[in-house]
Order: sequence, then structure tokens, then C-alpha cells
Amino acid sequence: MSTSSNAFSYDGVSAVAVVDIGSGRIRGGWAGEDAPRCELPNVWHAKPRENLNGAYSAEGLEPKAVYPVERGQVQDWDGLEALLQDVLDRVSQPQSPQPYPLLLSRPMFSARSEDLGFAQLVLEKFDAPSLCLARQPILALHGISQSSGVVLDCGEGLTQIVPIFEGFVIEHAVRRMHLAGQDVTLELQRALSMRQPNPVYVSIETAREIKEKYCFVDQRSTPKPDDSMSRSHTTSSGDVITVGAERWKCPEILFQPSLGGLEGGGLAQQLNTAIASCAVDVRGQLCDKIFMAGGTTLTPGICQRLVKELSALVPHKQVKVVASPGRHLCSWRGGSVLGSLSTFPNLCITKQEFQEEGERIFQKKFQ
Amino acid sequence: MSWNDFKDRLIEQKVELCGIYDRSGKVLASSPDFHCSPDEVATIANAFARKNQFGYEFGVVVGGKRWAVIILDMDSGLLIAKGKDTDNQHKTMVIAVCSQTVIIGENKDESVPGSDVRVAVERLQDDFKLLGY
Repeated sequence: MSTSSNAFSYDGVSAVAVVDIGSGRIRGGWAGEDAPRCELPNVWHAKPRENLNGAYSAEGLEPKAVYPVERGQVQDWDGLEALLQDVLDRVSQPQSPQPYPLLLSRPMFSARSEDLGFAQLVLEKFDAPSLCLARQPILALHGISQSSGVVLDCGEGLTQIVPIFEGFVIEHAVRRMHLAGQDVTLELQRALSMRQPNPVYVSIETAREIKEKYCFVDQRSTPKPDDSMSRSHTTSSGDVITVGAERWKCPEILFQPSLGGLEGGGLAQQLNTAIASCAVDVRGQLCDKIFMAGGTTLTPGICQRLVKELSALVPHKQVKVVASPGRHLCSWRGGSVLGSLSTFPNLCITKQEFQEEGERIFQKKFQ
Repeated sequence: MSWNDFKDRLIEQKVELCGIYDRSGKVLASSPDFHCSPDEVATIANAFARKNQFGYEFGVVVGGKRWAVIILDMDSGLLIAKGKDTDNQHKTMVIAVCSQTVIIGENKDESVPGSDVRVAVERLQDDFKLLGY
């Protein structure tokens, strides 16, 4: 990726920090670069709190894990601030001027109050000169140099299906679902604990580890159990956990949410609904350009199953699903491209604009 | 400010093919190369008035050419379409329906992005809303 210069370049070095804030992971780096410099789990270990007597309470002795972003929504601003600061500290380079502009990725249709919170955090607390808030699926499309297609961004907490035609987001067709990686993890944790005759109780972190290592999407919706599918996982504490049918049964909820007690259609159905909501004239082109993004789309077999199910739903159209190898980084890479464009400064809110116009500036810049 | 001044504002923002009409299709101002029949304008204005999502199935016809509808937002009175015929397939057309008027703009050549046409037409639509046009 070549770095073009814009008003935020400094001696040929990009000076725009790009941070992709996902529910599962937070990635930071510099615009114009191919990959993020740091990637951290989006969890913050809050320090033990003192009680009124200045002593630690019993429950406060251990650092408490805080998930600042859940399902794409900010739940803990203090945790997010600490995490964001940590990411920026890790990516900072000596030759960059301080402070620098920031490009943050956000989900589609995030609340205005959250955008305002980010502006206050970045422009006032971090003292950045400017801020750009860009939507993750749109960035994902930028990241693969496309202007049309349907982005299926299936991350840790949120799945977003966004049809984009010639750069225009077809807003009424956008689907935002609470069906993503964390639901598979929870289902796996539940399935292991309910297993008979040998129930296993694992932490959410261990369940996530097992999911990422061993789970896959089967090409049949009701595959037969097969002992050869079993795998053994050794935890950091040395315990050995055997996973069998859970390997494919748990990710199956992405296509059949009712198996996990969740409502709504699966990925293929939702994708079909999104495309069917678009104009007849563009549906064919959208079916032909479905782009996968987000960490959960790395689950083996997910693309083939999607093609299979979607082809059955739209038999008269050619379905093509594009799954690039680094699709979990698509949003960050799109931010990297956007941040290095000469037009990038036009997309930013400057500190001065925010001080003068407050919330109204969002209406002007991002509507 | 005359209708021609509003039209010139669109042209200044690189929307070189544009027209401003009343909802019955009568021309209020139009760039020299832009032609659109009163029936075509009235059909679109009436569809918005009836909240008829016609465009999604059949597309629209403007200036005798066929256009594929990409976005049809009844609430904000916005229609964005892409050319379907060989001579307009690289063009983007943006139509904004206001309380008394219809604004139509398109890019003369590919070098002007459709998003720029949208911004220019929507800005004028916002002004027309304030003015009650």
C-alpha cells in the first residue's frame, strides 16, 4: 500500500492514527500502512477499588475485567479511554508530530450521543487536532478497493449487512443483528457445561480459544455425529478438554439462530432480505459481489455454506462471495486507505469546529 | 433570488445538467442541455406524494432515458438513480422532491462523483425547505 500525502502528512510520514474499535478486538496503527501495529482484546482490567476506609474490599482485590464495547455500543467510557490510550501509546512513533488526528471506526447507525462522546474524548481529553468517525462496513469496502457490493461484517458482538452501490449506502436495506462470534462462544460454553456424561465448565476466554481453534461451519444443516471429529484442547492450566460435535453444532447458530434460542433469520436469510430490499436493477450486481469482513467470517466453511444457502434462496442469480485472507482486518485497512487520501481532512471534525458548533457539526459533516 | 440563481448554484457545484420544476412538471429553471418532460416530473412527484415505491421495481424514466433506482427515501424526498442505457450508464441522477418543487441534477461526465451531485442537490433541497418551496 502506498502512502499518499495529505495535510496530515509529516516529512512523508503519515500522521493519522487509525483505530478500529470492535466489540472483540481493538486495532491501532497508522494510515498508509498495510497492517495495524497493535491488536488488543477489547477488555480492560480495572484496578481494584478502595472502599471508604481506604482499604480494598474483598471483591475488589482482583482486577475486574471490563468490556468497554458490547454489541458495538460503548458500555464503559473510562475503560474505553484507558484502552484507547494504551493502543495509541503502543503505536506512537517518535517522528510523528504530537498530537495527531484520529480516524475511529464505528458500526453503522451508532447513536449520535456516542459519536459526541468520542468527539469529547478525542478532541478534548486526548487533545487531538481532528477526528474522523467512519463506518466499519464502508471502510471494509474501501479496504478491498471496491465501490459496490454487499458487505457482510460479522464480528464478535455484531453482524452488519450493508449493501453499497457505486459508493451509495442503501440505508433502508442495512441489517444490524445481534448474532455474531460471541453468541457462538456462549453457545459453546453452554454446550460444554450441559454435555452428558462429562460436563465441562470453561471460562469465556477458554471457550473463545476453543472456538477459534476447532470450530467450523458444516456444509449440511444437520450433519451426523462423527467420533473422528473430536479434538483435545489443553488449557493454560494444563486441563485437557475434548470437543466433539460442539465443533460444528455451535457455529450452526449463525445459520440457524433458533438452535441457540435466538430469534430472527440466519446469515444467509438476512443477506437475502437485505438484497431483496434493494431495487430490482441492482440486485444481480449485489449478489455477485458479497464481501466478507470481520473475525467471525474466518470460521472455516462459513463462505461455502453462505454460497450454498444463498444460491438456494436466489436460484436465478449468480452468487459470489469474496473472502479475502485478511478479512478480519478489512475495516482497519479501509481506514488506513481513507486516512492517507488527500481528501481525508475534509472528512474530519476539527477541534475548533467542535468547540464552535458542538453537536451540530455532526449534522453537517456526517449526515 | 430567482430560480435561475438556484440553478446556477447547482452548476457551480459541478452539477452541470440540472433542472428545477414545480410538482406539475412545469420548468422553473433548467440548464441548456437538460431536458425532462412535464409528465416525467409529475409521475415522480405523484409517486412521492402517494408514497409509492414504484422505482424499486421498474426504475424511472427521465429525459427519455431509463434509470435504475439505487436509493428511494420517501421521508426525505430523495431519489438516487444510475443510468441503465448505454449513453447514461456512467451517470448518477439525484432527484429531490420538495413541498412545491422538484430538483433534478446529474453529472455531465464520470469525473464528477455521484456523491458530489447528491450533496449539491440535498443542500438546495434543505434551502428550499427553509424557504417553503
